Amino acid sequence: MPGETLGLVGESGCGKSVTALSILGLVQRPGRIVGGKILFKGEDLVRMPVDELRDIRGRDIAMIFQDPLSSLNPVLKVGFQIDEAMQAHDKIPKDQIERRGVDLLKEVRVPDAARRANDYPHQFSGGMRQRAMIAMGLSNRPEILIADEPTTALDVTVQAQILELLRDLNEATGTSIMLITHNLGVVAGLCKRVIVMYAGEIVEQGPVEQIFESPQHPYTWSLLRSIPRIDADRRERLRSIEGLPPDLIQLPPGCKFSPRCPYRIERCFRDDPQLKEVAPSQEAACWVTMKRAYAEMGAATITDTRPGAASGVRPPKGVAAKVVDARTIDAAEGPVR
Amino acid sequence: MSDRLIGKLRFWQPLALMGALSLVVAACGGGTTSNNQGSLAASQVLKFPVYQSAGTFDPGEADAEVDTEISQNVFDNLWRFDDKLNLIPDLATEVPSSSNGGISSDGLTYTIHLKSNVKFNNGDSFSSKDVVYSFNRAVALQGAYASNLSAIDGFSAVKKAAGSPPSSKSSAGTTSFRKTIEDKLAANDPSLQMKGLTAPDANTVKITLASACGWCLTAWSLQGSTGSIVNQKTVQTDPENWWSKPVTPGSEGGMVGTGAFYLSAFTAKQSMTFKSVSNWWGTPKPTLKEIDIAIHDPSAIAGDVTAWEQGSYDLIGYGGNSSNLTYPLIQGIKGNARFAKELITQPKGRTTWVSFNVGNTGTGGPFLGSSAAAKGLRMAFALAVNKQDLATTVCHNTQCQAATGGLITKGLVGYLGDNQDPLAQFDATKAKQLLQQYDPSGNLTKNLKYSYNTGGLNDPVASYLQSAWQTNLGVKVNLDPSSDASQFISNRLSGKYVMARDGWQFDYNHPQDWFDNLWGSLATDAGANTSGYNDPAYNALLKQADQQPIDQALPQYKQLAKLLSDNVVYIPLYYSVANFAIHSYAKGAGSNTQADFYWDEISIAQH
Amino acid sequence: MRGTLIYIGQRLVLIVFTVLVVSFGVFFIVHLLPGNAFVSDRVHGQALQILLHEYGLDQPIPVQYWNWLTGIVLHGSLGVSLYIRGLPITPLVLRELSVSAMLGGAALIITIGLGVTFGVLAAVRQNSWVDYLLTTIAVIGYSVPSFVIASLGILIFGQWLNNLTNGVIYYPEPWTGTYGTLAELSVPAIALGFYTSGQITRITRAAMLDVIQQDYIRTARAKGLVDRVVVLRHALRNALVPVTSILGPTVISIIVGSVVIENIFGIPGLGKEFVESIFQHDYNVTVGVFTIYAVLIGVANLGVDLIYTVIDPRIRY
Repeated sequence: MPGETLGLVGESGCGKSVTALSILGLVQRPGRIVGGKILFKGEDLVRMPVDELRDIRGRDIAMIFQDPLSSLNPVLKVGFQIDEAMQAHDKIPKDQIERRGVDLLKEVRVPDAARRANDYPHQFSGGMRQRAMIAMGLSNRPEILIADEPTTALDVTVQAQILELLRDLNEATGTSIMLITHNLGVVAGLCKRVIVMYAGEIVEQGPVEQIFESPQHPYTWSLLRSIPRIDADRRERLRSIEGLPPDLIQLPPGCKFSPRCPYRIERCFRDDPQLKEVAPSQEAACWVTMKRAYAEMGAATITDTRPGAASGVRPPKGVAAKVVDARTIDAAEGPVR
Repeated sequence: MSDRLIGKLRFWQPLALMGALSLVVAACGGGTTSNNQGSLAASQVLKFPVYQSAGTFDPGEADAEVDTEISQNVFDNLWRFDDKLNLIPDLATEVPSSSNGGISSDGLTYTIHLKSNVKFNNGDSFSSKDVVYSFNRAVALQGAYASNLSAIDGFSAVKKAAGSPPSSKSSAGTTSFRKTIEDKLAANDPSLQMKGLTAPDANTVKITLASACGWCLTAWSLQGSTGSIVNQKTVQTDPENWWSKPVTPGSEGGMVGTGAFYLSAFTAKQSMTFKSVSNWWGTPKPTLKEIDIAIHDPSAIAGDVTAWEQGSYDLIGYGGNSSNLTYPLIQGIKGNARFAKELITQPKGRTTWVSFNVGNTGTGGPFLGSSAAAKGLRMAFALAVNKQDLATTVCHNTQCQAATGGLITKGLVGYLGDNQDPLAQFDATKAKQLLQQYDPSGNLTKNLKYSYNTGGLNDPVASYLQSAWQTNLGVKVNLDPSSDASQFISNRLSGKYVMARDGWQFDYNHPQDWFDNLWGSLATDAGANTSGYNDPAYNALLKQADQQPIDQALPQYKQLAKLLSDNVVYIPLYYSVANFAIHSYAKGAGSNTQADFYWDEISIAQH
Repeated sequence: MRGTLIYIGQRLVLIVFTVLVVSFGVFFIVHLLPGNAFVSDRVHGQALQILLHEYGLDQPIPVQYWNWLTGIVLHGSLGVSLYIRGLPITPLVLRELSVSAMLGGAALIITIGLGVTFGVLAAVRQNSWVDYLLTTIAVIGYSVPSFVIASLGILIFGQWLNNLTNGVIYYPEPWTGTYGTLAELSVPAIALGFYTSGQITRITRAAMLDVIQQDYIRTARAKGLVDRVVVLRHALRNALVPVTSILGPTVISIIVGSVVIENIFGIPGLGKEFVESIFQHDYNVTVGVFTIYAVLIGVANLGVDLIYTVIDPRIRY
């Protein structure tokens, strides 16, 4: 929907970024899209010829990334990199490009924009770099701006400024924003709608307030529990979700979250649940849902969140619980972006 | 007809004779010239490569054939050698002799009359002052050939005066010595004026000798050397380097002489261009307009031969490079019907031998001394070498011939005659017998070394000698090659080798050039007595011979040669043979035992 | 900017110091070598002493060095040749330097041109036959010394193809005039440049593969830039930074290689002069040429460091 702000949430390695990159066909080799559709204005981006897709990139759908330092070319001037985005398409008249470049920097609140346009990225602070990235993203007045973890690499205070900027720009320009983050707090601050992903699939979606108020998927519930709270008791441990997301190459049968889910039932190991409406405009893919967990498994007071702890269901024989102690594989593998 | 032309009529080369004939006709003038004009090519430019930059063209200092072969065309002497090595007048009206009154009866005073129409290339007229200046300058500079003038009264005094240069501790730089000499000469400083050299009038030079000299006339005629006349004005502009500067209109300096050619362009280590002097004072006028000389690496000669065959060069071998054609290249030219006749073979006055250490006690060795044993061993080593076979094996009889007539090369005054040198014999039996007699245990001839500088024929010759001594004497001689010729020569001259390659190229056609410079007290004094042979009998006879006219002295020089062979001071090896590639259309080009024929004798016929 | 000027100044001082040390070392060594420029059958004894005196060679080596040094500083003169007696060296070696510079410049253009092009192509077509072919050529390039390539060049162009090339490239006939013709220059320049181009191909390919993985390349593609612009403007510009780091050694390798190449092809440059002068005991020329080499290497390294600042704006001195 135009002007919408959508949050895409999930743990690291659950496929959020890959989903976003797939939209623009930027998945790096050897990765590729094997199936499915990405519809934009009725056209399937997955099957679109490379040349046409390139026209959409940056012009209709723009993207900004997690680390603004590594995402800006270190040897080119910031202003040039913004102008270049406009030159790649013919949406902005050539003679206006340079002025618009500076205007955009002003718009994203880079002080002394005209001079700063001639600086190199290393001369910018982290926050300013991300502002420049946003300016670049907005330069062609795209319909959608995909922001992939735009604040993760930044200081907390700067994070807030960037989010505020994105919100203001969304309101001012009407550009839809798709915010990809592992941080539900960020989503709460910016988005109207949220999609929760797990192991490359959507497990829950709906309006932000509603999801925060009443998450129905145990994964969403677990994520929300892991947000540190200012009003939390000091002695209260920060809760984390036991285990790690599954290896996307070797997915378990049935529900992908079942190996880590405290509320799993036998069926979870067998059948993959599909999204279904659990409340007005809220969908979740779960055989149990939190409604039942609260009612039958005492979720409100649970302290032991180990897999199957609440339901007492163990994996059937032959299905190895793909739960590995996180401490032993700290450095084993880089995240899947 | 001029005197110069008489020389031309004595061409030994039929081809050259043709060229000379045309010049004779041209010189005599008249309507007949047109007949021959038609045969001349439109472009009278001679092109050839050389394989070494000249060290200097300054006659006061030049000391290598590569210097003088070029500069002989720019500078003139009082008289000079013609193509048959006879003395003919050059700047003087005649060669002085007792019969024409030029040489006094006691042989000590020379009266020389100069041609009056001579001009330097820069237009300056030539007079007796220039002779006085040039001779005094050459003595003061003390180049390698200063000794050519040593008989003149006052030589030693000038040498001494000039030879005490400013203290070597001074940091005045490298120009001081020559500059000082020029300044003193310009100021007529008496210390640099030889007493025996005077100019009674503008066209007369009078020379008084300290002692009678039978070889002086020939020595002073050595082209491009200390007897050559230079122009004081141009030398003074740049005492160091005037000879490498082209002569340009209006400029004072440059390589200026009285010859038919002048230097018009000089790119160091790359090329030289000479041009003929228009309205030259002498006759006949030079036919060539320009000489283009490319300076190449010796390794480029194979390519140059191809270029010569294609006509890019007119000849190869001029400029002191007549031994550069290698055997395969010679074979290649011989094998080509078109060019076989254009390969000119010419014996050169260059002899190669092995020197024994006979007199340097510090160096020692089994050959030292005049004992029967030392002499016998020397004889054994000499007789063990088959010189004919060496010339065949090493030179394929094209680059050298066996040296059988003494050290002085065949064709020169002092040659003993074919097979007259007893040391040239090959007698393996006698050699072995002598070795048995004087070194029965083999201890004396153990660990012998033959030292030589590498390059050219020296390497195959060394291998040949090694195997000859091994085969015929059963003595293993180690080879001691030296890739640094200058280092080798230094060591050899100071007598540091027991057995070493030795050789000499004659400078002027007189035995004195050999017997003074190589053996005896004169050579020892000059620091050049390789073998250390210093026999009072030899020295006394040499002194006597040097003072006689050549016809009287010749038997004495032959006696000196006999002394050397009787004492087995050397093993004669070979006489060098030069090979030139000269296109037949380059009329008049060629060479004698000593030097290239002058450029002013050459013309380019239509081809 | 001011920092850069100060840096250049410091480096120049360092170069001068290095050159002084190097020149003295060479001066000392060549004068200690046995033999000298003048000795011949005829030049010995007093005639030799006079020549030694005339050219100042009878003075203590430190004094000779001081004279040499003051000659450069006061008169810009490298002294006179001993082999061609009295000939001023400066114009001679400057002419030869210009020849070598032409050869070296051509080789450098070939090296960088071939190396970077091959490297980019190999990286863009990674693991294709293009990649394998170019990588193989590069391996051959830097494992076969330049003199072998030179000899092959002579064999192929100077001998086998002599008729085809109309004898233009006929070796070992030295080339025409001071600077030769383009055809004559081509084979030596390729022989000299090919060796180092292999290194540059390798580095460029590796750097490109690394750079292509970088986030800013993804950014560039996300902007909708065409591949050509992404590769040349964004990837190559960054990949040139590591390539620049071997530019210094490359230039030095070309300078050193030119000594061999010039002697093989008979090119009248500094390298040929260097070898010749050693054999001829022409001390002043040897020292002069070596000093020029020292200056060249120093300046080349400085130049490379300055190129860094152009290619990578993050580097400032």
